[in-house]
Amino acid sequence: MPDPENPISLLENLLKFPGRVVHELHQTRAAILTAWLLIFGIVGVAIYGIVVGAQSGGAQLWIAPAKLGLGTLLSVLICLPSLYIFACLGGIDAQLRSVCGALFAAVCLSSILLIGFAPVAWIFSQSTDSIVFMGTLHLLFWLIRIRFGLRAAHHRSIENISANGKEIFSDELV
Amino acid sequence: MIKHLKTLVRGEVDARCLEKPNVRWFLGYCVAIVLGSSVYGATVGLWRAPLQSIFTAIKFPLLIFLTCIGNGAVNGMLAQVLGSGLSFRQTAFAILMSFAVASLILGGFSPITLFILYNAPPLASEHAIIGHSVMLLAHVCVIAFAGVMANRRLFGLLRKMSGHDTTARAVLFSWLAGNLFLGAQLAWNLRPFIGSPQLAVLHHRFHQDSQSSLAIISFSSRCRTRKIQSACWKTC
Repeated sequence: MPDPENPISLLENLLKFPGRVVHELHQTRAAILTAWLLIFGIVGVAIYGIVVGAQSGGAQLWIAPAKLGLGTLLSVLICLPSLYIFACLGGIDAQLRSVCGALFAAVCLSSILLIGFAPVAWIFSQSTDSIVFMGTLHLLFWLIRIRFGLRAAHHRSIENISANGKEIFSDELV
Repeated sequence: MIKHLKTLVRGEVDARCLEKPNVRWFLGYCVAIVLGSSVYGATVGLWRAPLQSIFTAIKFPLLIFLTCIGNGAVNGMLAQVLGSGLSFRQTAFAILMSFAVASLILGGFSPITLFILYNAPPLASEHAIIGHSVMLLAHVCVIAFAGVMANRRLFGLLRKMSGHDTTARAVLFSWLAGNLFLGAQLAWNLRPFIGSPQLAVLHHRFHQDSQSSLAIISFSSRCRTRKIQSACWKTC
């Protein structure tokens, strides 16, 4: 089980066993875990933002990470209520806390993957001046990370199958 | 160590060697990559000029190591997310193993490519373009063969480690996609390898044209067929 006091073990568990992290979100120290997930999610996206900003350099080096981090936070806040409502409409007896945790886990997992893609994106950003090409490349990495981020959300839905016999569609997270 | 490398090339490596990665084996793989790919790299550049062969002998292992380092993080994450059960260290070890196999095969092919080079029209002859094409084709075939064999060995190892064909295949293809993607770009940055008969011998041409290889092929409006051929000719 991931230890909320040890963020590194949390990341390791999120990569290897997302189901365990989702299970832990139902436990007593879920608030700390959820906070860590959100922090890692935002920081991961911001780190990738530095690579995005390195293409143009200058002020973009801090503007791009700030915008990506804030954009991610805003997206999460905007989508959270509708996700919760859709989960309830789907017949799941879910608590806002656990839906929140599952969403943050998905964002966190996808952000960690973005950090993995950062060196590759940096090499390409230093090799080309084509904004169109780099934009498409970032979009491709973004789609891959969303695909894997949804796996974490899927584990959440699997947990609900056993509990309620129904499944929340991962597409709702998109 | 040689015994272990022989086992590796035969594809009989036990899954235990990934469970407990050994520093001696790690150094052995690095030495195998440096020796095998340097010797082969020297034969790649030799057709153009002896100086080009030295540059290519240095750049070939450099390309392999830079690809491993650049993709290290994402390969480790993908292996874990896809459920192979491999850690970051084990992932790096497995990829290094497959590159070591490829390098050993390439090293073994060096005398053959040297023989082809001996028989190909030299740079000074009026059939220099044919010589360049023959060398290019031979190297593409040899590198493709080494790559296929190395990936077959890697697939076997991943199957032993994960216990599932589907997982092993998913991990292998995700690694392959990443390594091909970054490797192609790094090869472009480190060009030339064979060396164009029309251009002077250089250790790199990165600053002469700051376009990405993939950007040129996919997006640049200047990429008409004739220009792609010209770019490819200069790259090689």
